[in-house]
Parts: sequence; C-alpha cells; structure tokens
Amino acid sequence: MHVQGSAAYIDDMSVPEGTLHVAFALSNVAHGKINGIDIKIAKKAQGVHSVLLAKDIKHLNIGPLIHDEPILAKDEVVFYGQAIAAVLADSHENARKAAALIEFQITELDSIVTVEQAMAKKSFLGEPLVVNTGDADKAINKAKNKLNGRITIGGQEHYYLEGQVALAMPTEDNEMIVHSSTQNPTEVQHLVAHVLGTSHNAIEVVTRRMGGGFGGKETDSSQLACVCALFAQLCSLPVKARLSRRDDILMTGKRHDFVADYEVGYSDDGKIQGIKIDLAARCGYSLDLSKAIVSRALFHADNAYYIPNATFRGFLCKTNTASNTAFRGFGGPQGMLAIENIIEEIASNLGVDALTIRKINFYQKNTNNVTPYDQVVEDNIINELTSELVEDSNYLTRREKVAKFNKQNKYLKKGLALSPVKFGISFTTPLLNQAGALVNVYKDGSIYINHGGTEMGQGLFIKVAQVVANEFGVEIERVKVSATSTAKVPNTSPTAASSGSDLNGMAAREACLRIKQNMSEFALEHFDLSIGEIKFQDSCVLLGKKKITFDDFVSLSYLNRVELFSNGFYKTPKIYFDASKQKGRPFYYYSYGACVSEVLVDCLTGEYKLLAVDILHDVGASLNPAIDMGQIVGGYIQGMGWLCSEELKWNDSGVLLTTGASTYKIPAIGDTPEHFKVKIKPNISNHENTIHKSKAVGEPPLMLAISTWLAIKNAIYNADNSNKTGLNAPASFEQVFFNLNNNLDQ
Amino acid sequence: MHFLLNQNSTPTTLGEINPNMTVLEWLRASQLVGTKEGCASGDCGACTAVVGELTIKDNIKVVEYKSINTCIALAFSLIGKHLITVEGLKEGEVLHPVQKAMVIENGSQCGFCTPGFVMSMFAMYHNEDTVSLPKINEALSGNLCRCTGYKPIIAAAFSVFNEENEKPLDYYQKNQEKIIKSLISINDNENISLIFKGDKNNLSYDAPSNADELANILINNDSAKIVAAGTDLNLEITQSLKEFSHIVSVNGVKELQVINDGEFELEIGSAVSYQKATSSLVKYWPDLEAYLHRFASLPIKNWATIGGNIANASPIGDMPPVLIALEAKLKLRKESKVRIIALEDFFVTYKKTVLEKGEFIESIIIPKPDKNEHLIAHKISKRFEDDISGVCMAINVRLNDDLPSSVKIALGGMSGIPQRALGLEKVTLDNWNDENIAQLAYGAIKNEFSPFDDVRASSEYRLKVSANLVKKSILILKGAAVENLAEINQSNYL
Repeated sequence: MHVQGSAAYIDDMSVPEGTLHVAFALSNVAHGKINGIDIKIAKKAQGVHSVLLAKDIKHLNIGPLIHDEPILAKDEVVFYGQAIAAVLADSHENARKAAALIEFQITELDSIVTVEQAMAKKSFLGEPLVVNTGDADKAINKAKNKLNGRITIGGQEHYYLEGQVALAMPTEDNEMIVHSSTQNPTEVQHLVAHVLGTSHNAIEVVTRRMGGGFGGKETDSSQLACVCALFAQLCSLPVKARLSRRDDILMTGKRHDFVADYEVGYSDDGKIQGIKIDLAARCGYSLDLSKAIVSRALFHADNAYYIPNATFRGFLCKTNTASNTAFRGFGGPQGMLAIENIIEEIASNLGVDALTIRKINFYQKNTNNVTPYDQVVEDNIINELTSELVEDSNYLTRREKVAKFNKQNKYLKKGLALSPVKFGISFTTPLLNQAGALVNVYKDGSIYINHGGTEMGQGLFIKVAQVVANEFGVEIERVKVSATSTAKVPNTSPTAASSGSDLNGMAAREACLRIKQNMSEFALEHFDLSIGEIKFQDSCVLLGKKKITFDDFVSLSYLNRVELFSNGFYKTPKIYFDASKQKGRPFYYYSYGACVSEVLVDCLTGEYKLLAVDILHDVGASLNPAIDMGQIVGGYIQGMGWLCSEELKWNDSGVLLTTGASTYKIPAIGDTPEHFKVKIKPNISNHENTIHKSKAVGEPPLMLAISTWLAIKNAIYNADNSNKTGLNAPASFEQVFFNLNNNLDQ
Repeated sequence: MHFLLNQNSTPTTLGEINPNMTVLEWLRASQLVGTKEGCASGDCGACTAVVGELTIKDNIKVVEYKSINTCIALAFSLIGKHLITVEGLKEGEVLHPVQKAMVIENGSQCGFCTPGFVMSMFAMYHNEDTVSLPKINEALSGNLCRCTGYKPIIAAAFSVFNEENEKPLDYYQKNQEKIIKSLISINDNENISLIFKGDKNNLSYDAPSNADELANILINNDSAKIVAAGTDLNLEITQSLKEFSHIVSVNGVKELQVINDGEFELEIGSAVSYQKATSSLVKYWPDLEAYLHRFASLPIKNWATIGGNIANASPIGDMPPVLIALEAKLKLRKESKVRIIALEDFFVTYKKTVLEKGEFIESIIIPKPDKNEHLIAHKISKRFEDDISGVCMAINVRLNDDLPSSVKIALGGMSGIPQRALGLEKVTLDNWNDENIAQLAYGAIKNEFSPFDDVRASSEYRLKVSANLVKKSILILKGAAVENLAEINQSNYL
C-alpha cells in the first residue's frame, strides 16, 4: 500500500463536508507577560469561524504525569513558539493566514535558555536524581591517573515525515471519535476527556498509522487532539488540525540536550576505579517525561562497563524552551555518549587503542556484573559479541592501515572506533509494563486482532500478526490487524521503550492461547481425544489421527457454541524499582550490539566522510529478521544524524533558529556509507522468556552510531596527538574544524 | 488550461484556481492524496511527482520525464505538460517495477516518504539505462527518509536495473506515441493569460511565449512578478503565506531557453534549467560536475533556472560566485533595449540588483577558458547533499609554468551579496608558493569581509575556512592529495 500511495494517513482521510481546520498563533518571545491579545482582524479574515483563547478553556492544563502544560498560554508565555491562540477556519490555508493576523502585547521577561543558565540560577523541575554505588570520591582520589572534563551533547528534532495531526468528530450524546497520529492513544483519550470535562468512555481515540513517531508522538500529540476536540464540541462539527513543519518544530519538544561534567580515576592499564558524572538536561518549561528520561540517562552512563565506585547525578533543568520529550533511546544515548567519550580520553591519555580500555572494563559473567543501580547483568554477551565483530570487521588490520594512512597524509586523516551498546529493556516506570490484546476468530477462519500498540513504521503490526498466525498455525494473510482503538483495548501504555512487540506480542499470544483452549476443550470432548493430540499447524488442525482444515474446525467450533474470541493480558515479570533510591531491577533484560566506524577528515575544512560501518547486533531469536534489520540500519543512521549533522540552534534570547529542513539537516541518501555491513547475531535467544525468545530492537541500534562520533574524535586526535580534543556533539564540520589545530591567527 | 494526468486519455483541466495554488494543493484537493506534504519548502521530497514535457531529441519529438517538488511548483505551470503521480504507476493491478522493488527490498517503514521515493525512482527508470551508486544518490538526492537509513532503498534502486532481462517497458513507454499526440493537442505555443477573481481583487497569471511579449507585460504591469521555476520564490507563498497578484511565468519564453555555444563565449538563456545547462558547463569547466551535484537536489535542478539563481540575488546562491570568477556578463532587456553588464556589477546590496522596473535577464554570457585556465569551486555546508551553503568559493586561475598569471576569486555566504574578493586575489597571486598562504589569505579575507553568524556557519568559521580553501585550491592545482570529500569514492580509501 505504501508504494502505491494508498495507505491513508489522517490528513488523507476523506472528511465530512463542513469539516473545519485549526491553526495556531505562536509566541514570538521566549518568556513574557501577556498584556493583550488582539483577535479582531483575525476574526474577520476570510473563512474564519472562531478563535479560541486560554480564557475560553475551563480545563486548561494537560500533561502526561502532572498537568503543567496549558493548551494555550494564558497570562504568561514561557517559550518561543508556545501556542497562544487557536483559529478555526474553513480551510487549512485560511486558518493559517488568519492566525498570522493575531497580534499580542507582550512584555518580555528575562529568560533561561541554556543548561548553564539553569544550573547557575538553580532553575529545576525537581530534585536531582542520583545513582550511587561504592565511594567514587575516595576511589578517584586513590587512583593513579585522573581526568576530568565536560562534554555538551546536542538535542535532536524528531523530524517524523508526517507532522502532528488530529481529527475530532463529534458523534452523538456528547461522544467523540478522535483520530490522532499518536504513539499513545490512551493518553490522548484521557486528556481529551479531561479538557472536555467528560468521562473516558465518551471518547474513542483511533490510530491507524503514523508517518513516523520516534518518541515525538508519545506525549506531544495530545495538545492538538485536545484543541480539535474543544472546537468540535463548541461547533458540533468535525475539526482537523495539522501543523506546518515550522509550527511543529517550534511547538513540540525534542531530544534533551545535556551537559555532562565528569571526573574519573583509573589504573595504569585503564581500568576505571571511580567515576563521577553530572548529567544536566535541558527539559524545557514543563516536566513531561523528563524525570524518566534523565533517570534512563543515569542507567546508561555505565554502558557495558563495570564501575565499582560511581556517582551519577541527573539535573532536570527548567528552561524557557519547548518541553523536551521522548526520543528513541530516551536519555540512554546521552548517558552512553558521556561514558564512551571518557573511555576514548583514557585511551588517548594512556596512548593505547581504545578497544583495549573497553575490553578491560566490560561487565563479566559471574563477577563484576552488578550495575551502579544494583541490577545484576545476567545475560551478558558483550565480550563475545565484541570479539566476533573485531574478527568480522578486520578491526585490528584496519587499525594498522589507518595508522599508515595517517603517516602518509598531511591534510586528510582517518579515525577508527569500535563501541559497544548495552541497553536496558522495559519501561523504567514499572506500571507501564502491561499490555492487552483482543483476538477474534470469525466463522470463515479469518482472524482479526486489536492490541494496545501503535504502528509508526516499526513493523509492530506485522510482528504481532506473525505471532497470532504462528499460534494458530495459519498463514499470515489470514490475519488482519485493526487500527489501534481505545474502544477495543483500554488503558494501554504508549508504544515506546522498544517494548511494542514484547508486550503486545505476549498479550496477543495470551488471547490466542485462550481461544485455542476453548477450541481444544470442545475437541477433547467432541472427538474423545486426550491433551497433546490436538495440534494447530499448516492451516489445519490435527485431532488425533484426524486432520481437518482450520476453517472447518473453526466452523465446527462455532456450530458447537465455542467462544471464538478473547482478550489477552501481559505484564512483564521480575521487574521492580525504588525510585527514591534509584535502585532495583528496572530492566527485564538487556539488548547488546557493537559497531565499528571509520571516517576520513579533511583537516583544512573540518569536513568528514564516513567510509565504513560494520555492525553486529543482538535481537535474541528474531521474530522477523527483515524488520529487525530495518530497525538496526534506520536506527543507526538516525543516531548518526543526531551526532553529526543535526544541530539545533537557539539565539541568546531563546529563539529557535532551525525550524525547517533547509536549516536542520537530517541525513540524506549520500550520507549512507557504501561499506555498511550489518549482521544480526546468529544462533542466540533471549535469556528471559520473551515472545518467542526475541529481543526488543526499536531503540538500541541508535546508539551504535556513537562509534561514528568516536571515530571522528579519533581522527582529530590522530591529526595531532597533543590535541586534547574537546569535541562535543553534534560533530558539525564547523565544530570539527575548530577542534583541529588551524593556526590562522598567528 | 489543460494538462495530462497519469493514464487518463482525456486532458484534465485545472479549473478556476488561484494562480498562487501549488501543484500539491491541487492534487490533494482533487483527492489524489498519495502525494504528501512533508515540509512545503522543497527540502524533503515527500511531495515528489514526475512531469513530462514535449521536447525535441535528435529531431524527433519525445517526452522528457523529470522529478519535481510539487509543494513549491505552481499548478498553472502544468499547462501543456504530463503530470504523473504515485497513483498513476500501476498498470491495471500490476505494480510498476520500481514499486515492486521497494516492496521486495523493504524500502518502506512508516511509508510517508515512500511515494516520493517511488516517483524519483520512476523518473530514474525513464532517464537512465544503467545504474551506479552516484546515479542513485543523484536521483534520490531530494528525498529524505527518517526511518530506513536509505540502505534498502538503495538496494531497491539497484535491483530495478540489475534484473537479468532488459528493463520492461512501463505503461508510459508503451504508450509514448499516444501521449505525444495528446501533448501536441494541448500545446499551441500561444501566450497564456488568465485572470482569477479573488476575494478582494483579481489575480493574474501570464505565461508569454516570446521575449517581446514578456517585455511588453513587464513594462505595462507594475505588480508583475517574474517566476521561472519558483523553487525559491514560491516559498514566499507556502512559508510566508504571501499571495502574488500578478505572476508572470517565463518558462514558455522560447528565447530564454536557448544555449548558444559560440566560438569565444557560452551564452545560456536565463530560463535554462540547471540540469539542462550542466553538460555545457561541465564540458568547459570539469570541476563543476561535483559542484553542481551539490548545488541542489535533482527535483530542484530539474526546474530551477540559471537566471532565477541570479535574479533572486541571494547572498548564498551557489552559481553567482562561480560565474563571477569566470567573469560572466548578463544580457539585460527592457522593452526593446538591451544592455550588457558584468555579473559582479549586478548585485548592489542584500537582495537588491541593478535591474530596473520592467527589465529582465535574457541570458548569461560566459567567456570560454583557454588551456591555461583552471576553475576550482568549493562549497561548505552542513551536509554534502541537498543543502544551502555556508560558504562558496570559486577560484579561477591562469597558470603559466606552475605560476599563476592571474587569479580571480569570488565568494558566496560572506557578505550581503555574492562578491569578488580583489584583495584576496592579489594576496593569492603574490604568495602562491608561500607556506603561510592560509594565514596570509585569512588576513586578506578579514580585511574585505565581515560575514554574519547564522545557523549555517559562524562568522569565524566562514572567514577561516575560506582562507584554508585558498590553500586547498593551490594544493589541488599542485597535485597534492587533498580531494574534496564530497566527491571521493569511499572504497578507494578503504
């Protein structure tokens, strides 16, 4: 359907005649007091139906955990691009034109834009989070070698190709159907009900598909849906809103940018003895999911390394910027980059290859296997996985070739790096690790599933359909997955944390098992069989020595009044977590991977080209290797964009300057390296009892790209060994240029 | 008012539409929603479709199919052409080979960018006989994908061409004659002049067929706005929500479409597209091939004109620095009066030129190089493909026995206008073999330029990297190993 253009996204749906359209008027300052809003001209503009302001909304505040985000700013604006007014008009264009005619009187106030400013002014969204083990100060003091430093880690715009969009359609008796491009239909449902002052059961939220999500539609879809619902309630007409790219980038949150300050003590052979890292995150004006994101950053500041004495502190900086939100990796990538940067620096200081330092610090199987948050790493495969990749990628030979090349070339320098990924799987908020599914088997043997997960391109629907087809022993073509709907499975968790298949696959399987149980009970009696004589396979059912088609068996079951539909429920076992201490077992298991990158840097311009990437990644026993491969490759390139060309820029007054594809550069086709070898680790299965022993794959591959950033850092170091690089992320060409010694000022 | 749409045998009429309406808006309003809006600025390619134009090749009439960003193309520009969208690819129930390849190679995840990729690949299917990675990168340079990492899409593009059999003819290739006949029937080479009754005032659209008529319209209409492809100008409509009251398209003006390869000069009509001009330019200045690859994405280059890139007077247009360094001249026309001026004198200040009311650029005249002349062009941007430059430098050197006898340098992104760097030229000429050329160049550039800090580059980076680019150019001319990384074959370095 995708290749024919016939897959309908919300903006493609045919809407009833009379559907109205929303556009927003946005704040033009980062912080200010609203003295007046002039909507007179806008109201008279062509096609305008009405204008909505904060004062018109009874339940103004929304938010995923606490309601600290006004749908429209009331007395104060707290970031550049915050919505102040919403215009309803007969077309998208007319709504936008009218919104541009709204004028504000705003007294600009001092703003806090950067992490540094927030830290200086102690502007926080809560107490710092601390993960602590052993005595880091003492260990660092005692260590023979020490280093400290700072790295700034940029944020990332999601740049899902389909922008935020919602369509609210009033039905009857104050009920409403809301189509929302969201990873979290349940939250949209609850918040729409909240702003309308009605109960959850009056609102059905439907999500057929998203044109990309990446975390950007986990919480940020609600505002649009709520405004559509409010307007729809007011005028009893369908209301649609889709954001222009600029408005989307301005109004919604991004990946958190971080500043990491670190201090580490290590032995002569590079073993880390003690470490302290302060991770300060720009959270924006409201809490959103920042606490869990910073928490996950702390849980990944060890990456794959055993650190006996560690203090990781996380600061939630409150700033006058859009509220930063979930983005593939959810804080994990930033924590991981901080530690990988440190490893690279230890290697430079000791004058050895960084791989040696990595290996000496890796978690081991039976000893050195406890994380700073007390979870025991039970499923560690990082040592063997790394060895396998070193072999596959010819790492050692290439290391020599790189050194030789660098000796022979003055202006072009190469860098090479291998970095590991160990990523924890589960929502770190334990209650979210639950899922439901509904499976219907129809009289003709066709099967229909609904589950709480949403499809954003990650292939979840296919994976769950596979699970169901497999359970009934039928071909997948027989299985249809419906649009996600809050009316079919309630109280679902967002499709996030890489957990979609783990949770919904298990819930769907559970539903299948229940139906099979019903059918089997009937068959046992009807055919006088014993358990074990009934098998579902090859679109047939074996009943002792008898074999009938699945269709016939379904039909027979129906005629004998067997219940052919069921719900299924799943909750992840074994996990627990004490948020006050930041200790416990937040993760059911870990996913592993490793990546080798080789880059070529032009020392005269700071430009670089990625020459080669070799990846080995662990997905357990893959549910669908083609889909998993797509996630690994796509995740890697998205991570590369984050660390290389994607640079968000604000001016000193907090105005976001990179508001479109012409200024914000996600990777283009030429950025995909020609040598790009990706392998799924073969002959392996999940240590834990997940769906078919598979592992989550959504987020972990993004962090493979850290090796690319490290290779750039390595090339800069290779250009001048005396150069202690202060490379930050993203490694824009300009930043690389200034990290190389270009003595032009002399 | 008519154009051909997909496989429809009868021409389609655009209807009573605002001349400011884009092709994408028209499509989506007509329920052809396979074509998506991703950015509405020609940067992401989700809206890519293919437009076929009648043209003469080896004295035969053929249809030339080119990819286009429908989000910034005006609907009226379709008149007399053939528009193919993603809905028009299947033949009956059978997928087009490029669609099939994308399915087999898993080239789609969320699917939102997919129609655009399919259309760019479809254009490639029509325009290429063989495949290579650089060709794929060029054909798909205007399509962004956020999910797949492009690897499976590249594999799909390869597989379309690598089938054992010849590429099978698709619907449009099989029916070419019929399509040509239909296109002839809706192309009468007449001036097009339309008036749309707006809510407040009337909006006009003119597409004159010859230069006399164009001159006439411009002199008589104060509000007339010249639009060629509109790849820059139409952003004012989609991004700044402007409405032009009188649009004058120069695409049909035949005199502006001509390339004249004379004995001493190359003269390129101002409405010649970049794609069409490339082969003539590369013939005399081979270094421009890689530079033009980076100029813009293919759907932009297919339509964007040489004259448009000059007339919009952007300080970051990529072609003016090159043309200034080549000492190009402009032929300007107003009514029947023609004047010729040096391009470097054309730009006055930011976005201001010497063009008078009613005057337009007829052609660009470039003196041909002698054998001692070498042109080197650099572009510094945040991404190699499809990006706007932070700095452009073109350096044109005449070498006699390894020493320069003249140096001409022009820079973009360094000031309010594309500008010649006279002081830098002198320093470069005088210190060609000096080890400290970069430091000396830096001093000269600082004297002549004070560039802005903006999202693309800081002032300091612009100044310093320009100085190093002078050094790099000299090293290149001396044969040192300092290739531009954007141009390298990656496997040569492994």
